[in-house]
Amino acid sequence: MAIFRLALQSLLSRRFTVLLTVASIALSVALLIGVERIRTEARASFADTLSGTDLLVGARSGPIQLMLYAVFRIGNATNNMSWESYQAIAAHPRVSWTVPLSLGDSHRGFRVLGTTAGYFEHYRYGRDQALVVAEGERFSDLYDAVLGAEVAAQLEYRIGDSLVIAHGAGDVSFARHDDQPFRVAGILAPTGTPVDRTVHVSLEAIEAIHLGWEGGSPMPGFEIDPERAREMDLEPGAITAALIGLDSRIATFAVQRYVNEYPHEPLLAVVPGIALSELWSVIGVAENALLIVSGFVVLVGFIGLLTALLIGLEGRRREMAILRSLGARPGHVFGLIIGEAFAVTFAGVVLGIALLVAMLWVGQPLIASELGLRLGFGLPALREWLLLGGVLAAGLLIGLVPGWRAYRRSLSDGLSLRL
Amino acid sequence: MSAIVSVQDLRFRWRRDEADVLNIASLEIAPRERLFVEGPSGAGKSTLLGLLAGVNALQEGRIRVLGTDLRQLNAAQRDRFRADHIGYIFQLFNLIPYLGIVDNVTLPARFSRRRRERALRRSPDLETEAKRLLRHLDLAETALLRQPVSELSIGQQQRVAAARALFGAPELLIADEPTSSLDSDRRRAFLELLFAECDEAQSTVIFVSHDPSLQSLFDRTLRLQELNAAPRTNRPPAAPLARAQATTPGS
Repeated sequence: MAIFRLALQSLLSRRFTVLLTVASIALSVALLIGVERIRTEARASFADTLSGTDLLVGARSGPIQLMLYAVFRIGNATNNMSWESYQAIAAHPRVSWTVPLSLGDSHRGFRVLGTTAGYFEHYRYGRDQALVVAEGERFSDLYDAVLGAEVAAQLEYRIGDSLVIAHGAGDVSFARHDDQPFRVAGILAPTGTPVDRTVHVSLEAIEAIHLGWEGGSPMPGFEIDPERAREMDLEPGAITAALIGLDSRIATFAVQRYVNEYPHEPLLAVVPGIALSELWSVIGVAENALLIVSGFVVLVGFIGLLTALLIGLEGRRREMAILRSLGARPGHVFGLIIGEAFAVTFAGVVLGIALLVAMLWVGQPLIASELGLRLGFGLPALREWLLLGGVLAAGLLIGLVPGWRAYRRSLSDGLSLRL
Repeated sequence: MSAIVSVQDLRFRWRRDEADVLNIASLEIAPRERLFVEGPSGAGKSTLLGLLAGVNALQEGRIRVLGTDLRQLNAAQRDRFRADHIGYIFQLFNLIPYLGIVDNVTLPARFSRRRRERALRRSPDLETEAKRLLRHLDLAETALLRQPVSELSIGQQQRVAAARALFGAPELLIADEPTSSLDSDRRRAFLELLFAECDEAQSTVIFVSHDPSLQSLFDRTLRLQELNAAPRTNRPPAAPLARAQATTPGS
């Protein structure tokens, strides 16, 4: 169509300012879609952290706290639960499996989790995905450790390397269990969950390294040599939390009540899905703020477009009169401006997506390792299409303002050339 | 074919509470006539051209162009009619700054299939036809054709504008003081080139100016002031097919 080609030629003649406008829209679109993608991905990977577990049990605190320290390994347990209580719950007729979790130690900033072989059986993430040992095997010896993917990658551990566990959760610790070094037995495949950042050892090993530490620090002159430790009774007195699997989901609330009303110790049982969504509603505020901010960035981009169009309009009055003299209808003049707004927005959207894909392509390994988010850089998802459609519609809507002005003006100016 | 333009009982005012800008009882322009319309600013020259070109809507009276009653056409049809049949030259700045010379000249073909076809009847393609017209207007040097139109001199710009107005041989050429920014030697040269091309395209010329020194080049001069709302009779000129009349308003 004649007018559309003219609009393009006109744009080409103003390449520099047009490119700036396109760039500002492209950047805002890349930001908007990027934020949206991180948001959805974060939400999904968050909700996928723990699946297949019916109840999470720990000492009584709040559901979110329990979730944070037991699953996300953020912060510390305020209290432990006793081994007796754990066994009582395990003996409940509706409980089909239990996995004890014992936290509190660390290795160079990564949390150490004492657990049983059942952890590798029953821990599920995403859509019922089990943990996979990528290299080596699960722990079999008392001093075997199985590393999460990120621990191994960051600390450059291989199978057979030895490591020493530090007491407490800090990155730098003065109290180390260096009398009882561990051997790397296995390395897990990446999961995108906190498992990647965890060192897994057996529950007995946690007991063993704390022999003689009853006071919270090693008794002077009391060193355990590993061979002696093996012969001792390593049944734990307490654990941090436990994952519970039931024989049927219907039993969830009955067992939950049983735990919450357990008479011998104040305990708390939470349904992971419910706790996760509660936790997300807390984090979600920040996430929404991010989306709103990126929405404003898009708005700023459009104000730039509107400014460019309105300023351009003044200088193009005689162009419009010339086109009118050639038989262009006022509607053509309107179309010229709207077409320009649309072309600029469209170019901005396309460039923005290209920019985002390029950035994700380059930055994905970093995002995956730093944030544990696996951002796809494929085609936009439905919600992203809707956002992009919204941006295009907004571009057209913005074009209406100068388009209408040019239309009115071309009617009133007619063939008189205002200079 | 009778008159190419025929105006009857035309009255036009911009606003209801204002006096008439135009009040023309009768005006007829013959095919291929070269008409010089003279009048001071404010005499309604541009208004008349706007009405003839179909940009402004008729309020009272009748205008027929090429046998078509403009009143019967709606705004969009008048725009189409203008694209098909009328070439228009402005006083200054006729060219679209972001198009090259050839693209400026071929612009009418983008808006009118008729003019496109008429151009192609003469030359194998639009560009050849544009260059043919430009050559006739002394603008065909290849170096010149590559220049951005903003770097042309005003005289060159007006000749490109003339080539565009005549592209596709429209029946009517309307020129709104196209020579007012040229010096007097160049005015004459410009008009001579323009007329030569109009003869070839068989176009009728309506040329508006406030500069009476050019009128000797035209077949007939129309003084808008006298024609317009004059309370006395204006004698028709001798030209057999051309007649301009003005009678008392409302008579």
